Amino acid sequence: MQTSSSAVGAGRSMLLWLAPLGFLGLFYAYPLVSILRTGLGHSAQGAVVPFVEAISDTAVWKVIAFTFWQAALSTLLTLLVGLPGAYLLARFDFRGRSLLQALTAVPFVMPTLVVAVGFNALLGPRGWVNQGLMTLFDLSAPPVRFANTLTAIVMAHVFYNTTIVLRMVGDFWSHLDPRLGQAARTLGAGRWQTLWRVTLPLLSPAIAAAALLVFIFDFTSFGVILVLGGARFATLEVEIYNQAIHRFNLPLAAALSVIQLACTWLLTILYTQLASRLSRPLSLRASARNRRRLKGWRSRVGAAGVILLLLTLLVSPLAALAARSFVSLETGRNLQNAPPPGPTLAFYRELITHPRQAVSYAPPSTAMLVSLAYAAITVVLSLALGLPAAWALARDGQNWLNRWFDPLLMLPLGTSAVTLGLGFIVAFSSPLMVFGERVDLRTSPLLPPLAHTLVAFPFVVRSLTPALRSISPRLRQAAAVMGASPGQVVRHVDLPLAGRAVLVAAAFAFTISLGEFGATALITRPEYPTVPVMIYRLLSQPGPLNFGQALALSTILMAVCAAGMLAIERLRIAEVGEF
Amino acid sequence: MSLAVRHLHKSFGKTPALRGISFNVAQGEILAVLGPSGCGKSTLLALIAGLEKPDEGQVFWEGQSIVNVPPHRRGFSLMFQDYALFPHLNVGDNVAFGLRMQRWPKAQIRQRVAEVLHLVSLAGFEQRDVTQLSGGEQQRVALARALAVRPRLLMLDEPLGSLDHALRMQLMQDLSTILGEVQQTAIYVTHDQEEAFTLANRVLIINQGRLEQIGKPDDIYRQPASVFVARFLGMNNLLEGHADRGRVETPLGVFPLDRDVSGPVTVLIRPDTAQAERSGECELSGRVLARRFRGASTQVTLEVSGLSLNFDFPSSVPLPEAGHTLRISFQTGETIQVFS
Repeated sequence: MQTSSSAVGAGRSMLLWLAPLGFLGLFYAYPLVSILRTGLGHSAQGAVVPFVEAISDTAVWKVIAFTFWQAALSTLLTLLVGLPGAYLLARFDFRGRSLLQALTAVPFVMPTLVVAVGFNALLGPRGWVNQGLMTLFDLSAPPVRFANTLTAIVMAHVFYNTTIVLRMVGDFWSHLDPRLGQAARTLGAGRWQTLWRVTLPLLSPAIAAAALLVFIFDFTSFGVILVLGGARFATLEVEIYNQAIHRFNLPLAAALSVIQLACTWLLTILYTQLASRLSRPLSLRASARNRRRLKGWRSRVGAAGVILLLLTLLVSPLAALAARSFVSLETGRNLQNAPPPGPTLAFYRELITHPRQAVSYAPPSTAMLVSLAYAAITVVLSLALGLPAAWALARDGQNWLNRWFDPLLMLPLGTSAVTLGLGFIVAFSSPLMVFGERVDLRTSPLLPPLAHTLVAFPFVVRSLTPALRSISPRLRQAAAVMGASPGQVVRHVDLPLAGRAVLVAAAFAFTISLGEFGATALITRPEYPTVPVMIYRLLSQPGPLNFGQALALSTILMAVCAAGMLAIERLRIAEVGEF
Repeated sequence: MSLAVRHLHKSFGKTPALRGISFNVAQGEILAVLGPSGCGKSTLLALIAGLEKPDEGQVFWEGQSIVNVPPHRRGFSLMFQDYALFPHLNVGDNVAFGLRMQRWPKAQIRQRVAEVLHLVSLAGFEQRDVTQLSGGEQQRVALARALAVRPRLLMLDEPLGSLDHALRMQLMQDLSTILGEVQQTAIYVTHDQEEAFTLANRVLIINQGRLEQIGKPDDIYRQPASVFVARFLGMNNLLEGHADRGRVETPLGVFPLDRDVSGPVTVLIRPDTAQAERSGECELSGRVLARRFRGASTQVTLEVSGLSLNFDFPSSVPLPEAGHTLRISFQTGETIQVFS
C-alpha cells in the first residue's frame, strides 16, 4: 500500500535534504572547487599553472610511483594474509570463532596514530623487541631496523585492511554453496584444481572488490606513513601535507591534491562498479549451514596457524602499546628525567602534571579536553545533518531525488582526509561573506569538528538508514488503529525503535572524530591540538619521556575507541551496510 | 446494522484495487471476506480501518459516515497478517498499547491485560519478549492486543495465514470460541474457504475488486452465484452448454433445467452430489482415470465422452480401480447448475 505519489515524496524529501546538501555544498564541494581553481588555474605571480609544473617534475612522479607501489605491495600482502582467514571463517565451526570475528572489528575503529605508535612500541627502536634484544645481548644500538622502513608501512597496512578481506570475501564465501565444489570433486577435479577452477573464479568478484577497497585505503593512507615511514618515504598524501604545512606552497599542494583526487575518484568509481556486482548472491543458503567442524590433524594444524597469525597481527601491536605504556624499559646513558626501568605510571602522571618541557604550545591534558569537545560537536552536527538525510532515504524510498543524493552522500568517503583538510585551508583562507557578515572560518576552532562531521557523515547516514527503514509502516498503522494519534505514533513507535540506531550513529561519529588525523593535522590551531595531533607532536620530540607520554596518550585513545566499538557492536540491530 | 459499506472504489496509480463494493455487517456478526490473493481484500480492510481513503464511496458506522475520521478515532482494531507486534515492547506492553493510548488507569490496564491474555490462553506471559515467541504465540498476542481495547469492530487480516496446518486447525477452533464468547463484531479476511466457512456467520467473496457473492456459508456452497465462485470452491466440472425452454444441451447430453434461462451457458456438474452405481434421474458412465483417497472421501476422475470430470464419493462406497468403467447417477435438480 503506497501512501504518497512520487511527486509528493520528492517534495517532502527536498525539505529534508536542504540542510545536509547545504552542508556538503559549503564544506565539501566549495573546498574541492577551491583546490581545483588553485591547482589548475594560473597563480598570481607567474604564468605557470601549478598542475603543469607538478607533472613536469620528476620528483612528483617518484612520489606518485611510490604511492602506487606501496599500495600494491600492501594490498597483495593483505590478500595473502586475509584469504586463508576468510576461508576459515566462512567454512568452519570452531571454538572461539565468534571471538575471532569480534576481534577483526578492532582495526575499524583504531585511529591511525594509535596503530602507528603500537607498531613502534612493538618493533621500533624503543619497542619491546629491540629493547629486549639490547638487554639480552648487551647491545648499544637497536638491532632490528623497523622505523622508517617500507616493512613498517606495509605491516601497519596489513593490520588495518585484513579485516576488509575477512569480512567482504569471508561473507561472500560463507554464502557460496559448498555443493558447487563438491560437484567439481565428483567430476574428477582434485583439491587444488577445484580451488583454482571453481572456487576462486566464483569468489573473484568479492576478491576484486575487497582488493580494490584495500588499495584505495592504502593509497590514501596518511598517519601510518607519516609516523612509520619518516622523512624517507612520501606518498601523495604525505607530500600534500609537507607542501602545505612545512613549505607553505599551497599551489603545489593543490596541484598534488588534484592528482590525488583524480586517482581516488577513478578507483572509487571502479570499486562501486565491482561492489554492485557483489549484491547478486549466488545462492541463498544460510551461511551457518555451509560450515563444518574441523576434522583431522592437518586441517586442525592449518586452522591453528591461521588463527595464530591473525591474532598476532591484530592483537600484538595493541597489546604491546598498552603494556609498554606502563613499563619503562630504557637503561643506559644520558636519559634525562626517564623513570627507572620497571613498571611505572610515570608516563600517565606526566600527562596531567604540566612538565617544564611541555611540548610546543599546549599540554596533553588540553588535547584531551579539545578532542572531547570536538567529538561532542561532531556528534551533534552529524546527527543533526544525518537524521534528516537518513529519514528521507528510509521513508520516501526510491524517488528520483533520493536516487541522485544517495551516492552523493558517499563522496566524502572517496576523498582523502588530507585533501579535505587542504580544501578547508584553501577555501577559507580568506573570510567568507555570508549575508553581508564577514565570517572568518580560518581562525575558527570550529573548523576541525566541521571536517570530522564531513568524514563521519556517510557512516552516520549509512547506519541510520537501514534502522529507520526497518520500522515497518505496519507498526505505525497498528499503533494508529489502536488509537495512537500521529504524534503518539512518533513518540511510542518511531523514537524508541530508532533510538538504538541513533546511539550507534553517535558512537560512530564520536570515535571517528577522536581518531581523525589527516584533516586535523592540516587545519587544527596550534593552541588547540587534538589527541592524535598531540601524539604526533610527542613522537617527534626526543627522549624516552616524550615517547612514554605518546604511549600513554595512545593507550587512553585506544581504550576510548574500543569502548566506542563495543557500544556499536552491542547496540546495532541491522548490519551497517558495506564499506 | 453496525457497519455499512457503500460503493467503495480505490485505485493505486492505474491499478484498480476495489471497484464498487457494498455490504453490511450486523452487531455481533462475523463476516468473512474470501478471495484469492490480490483481489482487494486487504485494501478493503485498510479503507474500513481508515489507513487509506477511498476514491469514491462511503463507510458508515451506525448511520454516520466515518470516511473523514482518522484511524485512531474510529474505535476499531485490526489484527495484521504479519501481526505487526512492536519489537521494542514485551507481551504485556504490546497488549496494553491501545489502553495506554486511551489513557486507562494503570491498575485497570494491568487487570485488562491479564484478562485478555487469559482469554487467549497466554496467562502470565506479560514479561515475555515478543521476538522470542513461537508463531502461534505471536498470533495470540496480536489477537489479545486487538481485543484488549474492546473494539466496536475487529478486523482480522489473514490471521492464520503464516501458520502450519495443524496449528491453524487448532487456532481456528480457539478463535471461533473466543470471538463467540465476547460477541465480537468482526470482519475476517482470508483466502482459505475452510476458515471462512468455519468462522463466519456470512461470507463475502470478492474477485478483482468486485463482489461476487455474499451469503451464509451453506447457501454459498449449495448455490454458487458465478463460475468464479464455483471454481474458487473447487468445483471444476464446468462445460459449455446451450439452454433453451427448460432444457440444457451439453456435450454429455441433454438435461432438464428448473430455471428459465436461454442462450449460451456454463454448466456445472457438482462433484459432491452424484452416487456410484445406483440408478437416479440421470446416469453417466465413463472410464476411471484416477482415484485419489482423501480420508473420509475419495475423488474419482472419470473420462466421459472425452471430457474428464471429478466426483467425490464417501470412502465407504466400493469403487473400481483405474481403467475400469464406473456408472454414476444423480438428480439433475441438485447436481446440474447453470451460469449465464
